[in-house]
Amino acid sequence: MNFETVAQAAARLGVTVRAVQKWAKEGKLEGAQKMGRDWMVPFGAVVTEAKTEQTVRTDTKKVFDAAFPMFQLPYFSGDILEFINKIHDPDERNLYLIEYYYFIGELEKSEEIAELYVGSDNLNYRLSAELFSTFNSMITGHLHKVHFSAELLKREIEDSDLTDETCISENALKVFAGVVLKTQLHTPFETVPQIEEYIKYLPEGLRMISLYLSSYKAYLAKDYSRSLGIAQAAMNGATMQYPMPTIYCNIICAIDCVNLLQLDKAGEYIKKAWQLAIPHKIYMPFVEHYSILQGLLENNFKKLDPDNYNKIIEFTRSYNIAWYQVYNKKTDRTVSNELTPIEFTIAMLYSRNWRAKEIAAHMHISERTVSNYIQVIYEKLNINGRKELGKYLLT
Amino acid sequence: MAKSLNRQFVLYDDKVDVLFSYSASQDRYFGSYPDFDENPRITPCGRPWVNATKEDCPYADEIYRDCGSCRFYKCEHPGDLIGVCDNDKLRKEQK
Repeated sequence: MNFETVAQAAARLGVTVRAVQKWAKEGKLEGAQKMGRDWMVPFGAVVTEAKTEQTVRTDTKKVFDAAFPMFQLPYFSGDILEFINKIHDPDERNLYLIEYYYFIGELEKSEEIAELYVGSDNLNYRLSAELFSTFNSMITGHLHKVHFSAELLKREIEDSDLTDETCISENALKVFAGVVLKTQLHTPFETVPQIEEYIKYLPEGLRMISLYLSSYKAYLAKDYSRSLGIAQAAMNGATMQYPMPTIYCNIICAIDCVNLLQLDKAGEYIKKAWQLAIPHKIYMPFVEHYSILQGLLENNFKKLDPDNYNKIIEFTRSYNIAWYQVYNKKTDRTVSNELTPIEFTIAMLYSRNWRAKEIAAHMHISERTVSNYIQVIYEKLNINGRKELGKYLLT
Repeated sequence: MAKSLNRQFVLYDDKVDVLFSYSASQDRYFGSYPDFDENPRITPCGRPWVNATKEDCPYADEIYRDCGSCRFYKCEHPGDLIGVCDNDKLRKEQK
C-alpha cells in the first residue's frame, strides 16, 4: 500500500493538516497508521463517518467558484458587460454586476443589486454584497449605511468560529472580506486574524488580491521595499493574468516606487495598471489610491488622457470627502472638503518631507507654484507647518 | 464681500502688511505673502522675518525641515504663514 504524509493528504482533500490528524486519530481515515509522532495516510484514502465535513467541503468548492468573481476572472476578453450578461445563473450574474458596476463607478446600479443580497443565506452573496455596499455607500455619501454594512461584516466574523477547521474555506473567505474592510477603510477591527494564515485556502485570484492586501499593509508600515516585493511576487507567481488583482498590485508597486524615489519604475507600473483598467472604464482602483498616488496620475495621464483622468478626479472628490468624514477622527475638519485633488496630492508629498524643489520636478511645475500651493493648503487648513499637515493627512 | 483686505502682522515692534484677496470660487481670502528669501526683512531687534514654508535652514527640525514646524518660529496668531525667527544664532546685530 502506498502512503502519503498528512500534509499531502491535507492538500489532496483541501483541508488543513490538523483536520487530517484529527480524522486519523478518530479513525475516520481508513488505513491511516501512526509512524512515530506522525500519521501516514493510505494514498487516495477518503474520510468515512464524516459526511458533514465532506458536504461542507463540496459546498465550499462551489462557494469559491462564485466568491468575489471579478477578482477571480483570469482574463478580460472583449466587453466585460457582454460577458457578464451571457452568464446563465441570475445570482452569479448579479454577483459579477455588483462588483463590475462598482469598479466602473456606476455605484447606484451596484448598490441596487447589492441590496438584494445583504443578509442573504448564501455566504458568497452576503459577503460580496455587504463589502461592496460599504464602498458604494461611502462614495455616495450614505454614511449611516457605511456603518451598517461594515457592522454586518464585522459581526459575520465575530460570530464565526474561525478555529473550526472543517469549514476553513468559508472562514478564509470571511477573513478575506474582513481584511479588505480593515485595510482599505482603516476600520478598527481587532478580531480579524492575519490574512496570511488563510491565503493558502483561497483560490488563485483571491490569493493574489490577498497578497496585494499584505503588500498594502507593509506600505502602511512604511516598509516600501517589502511591500513592493510582495506585490511583485503576487504577479510573478500567478498562473494566469487575473486582471483585477494585477491592476491593484501594479498600483501598489507604483506607490512603493514613488516612496523609494524610483520614479521611472513608478511610471511603468502605473502605466501597466492604466492599460489594463481604463479600456474597460475601471476607475475605482485609482480612486481608492488617489491620495497616495502622489502625482503619478497627473504626471502620466492628465495631458495624455484628460477625459479618463477627469473622471477619476470626479470620483476622487466624493471618495476622499467620505473617507475623511468616516475615518478621520483626529480632526473635525474634512481635509478633502477643503483641498482640490491637486492640492491634496501636493499636501501628501509635502507632508512626507518632499522638498518643494522635488515636488516641482516630479509634477512638472515650477518651485514657485509649489510654494503657492502650499500656502493655499495651509490657509485652507489654518496651519503653518509640515508637522501639523501630517496629522491632517494621517501620514 | 470686500474684494481685498489688508492685514498687518505685528511682531517685535515691526509691522508687515499683507493683502488678502477674495476668491469667489473658493469663497475665502488668500494672502499675497512677501517672499523673505528674495526680500529679507529684519525686525528692529535684529530678528529675521521668515515664511512658514521656508526650508533649508541649518537649525531647522531634522525631520520636518520647514520653518513652520520649528520651535523657533514665532507668529502673531496660530496658523500664520509669516513670522519671526526667534533663534538667537540667526539674530542680526543691531545697528
